[in-house]
Amino acid sequence: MTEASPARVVADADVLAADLLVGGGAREALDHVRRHSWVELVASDHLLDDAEAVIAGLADADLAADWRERIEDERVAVDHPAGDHPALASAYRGGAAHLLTFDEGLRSTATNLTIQPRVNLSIRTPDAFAGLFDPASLYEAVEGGEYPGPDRDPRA
Amino acid sequence: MSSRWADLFERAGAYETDVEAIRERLEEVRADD
Repeated sequence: MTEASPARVVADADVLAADLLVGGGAREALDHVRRHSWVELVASDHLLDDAEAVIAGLADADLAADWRERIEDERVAVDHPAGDHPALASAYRGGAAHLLTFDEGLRSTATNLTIQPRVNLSIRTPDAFAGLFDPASLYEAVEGGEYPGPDRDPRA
Repeated sequence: MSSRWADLFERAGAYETDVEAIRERLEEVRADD
């Protein structure tokens, strides 16, 4: 168990796929992550497997493979048992304080994990996360000092 | 070398889908696991 960090974020497979294929709130939320090198996206291989399968099913396998290669460059990898919910387990194992999902029923599945959550995990829609994201206060809490602004190009 | 996000988003723009379709597809994927 890792202590939860407010600068660690998990996006469920639906949000990862929507970031690529739809845009909207999912892309707005993950752009916050991509813009800041000190905000980390946590994801297990199981979670990326699910998102890659969705992308391959709704778009094409080449795009899904290229997306997988790119997201693996950026994510913080964690491992968990195959039977756990990939997003919840990624959050708990990776010490993330934020879980973004479109699944309204996700909270109830927490009791089915093989590990018991001991951390405060905020489960929100990506739209809610994007609206509440305050990089200045988060930077001060996590890194210390005055927020210098975004330090990465989210389209690079 | 992996793709730029800008290029991935441009390629993805060729497909029309929505969050509801993504949710349905994800439920199918997880049901098959």
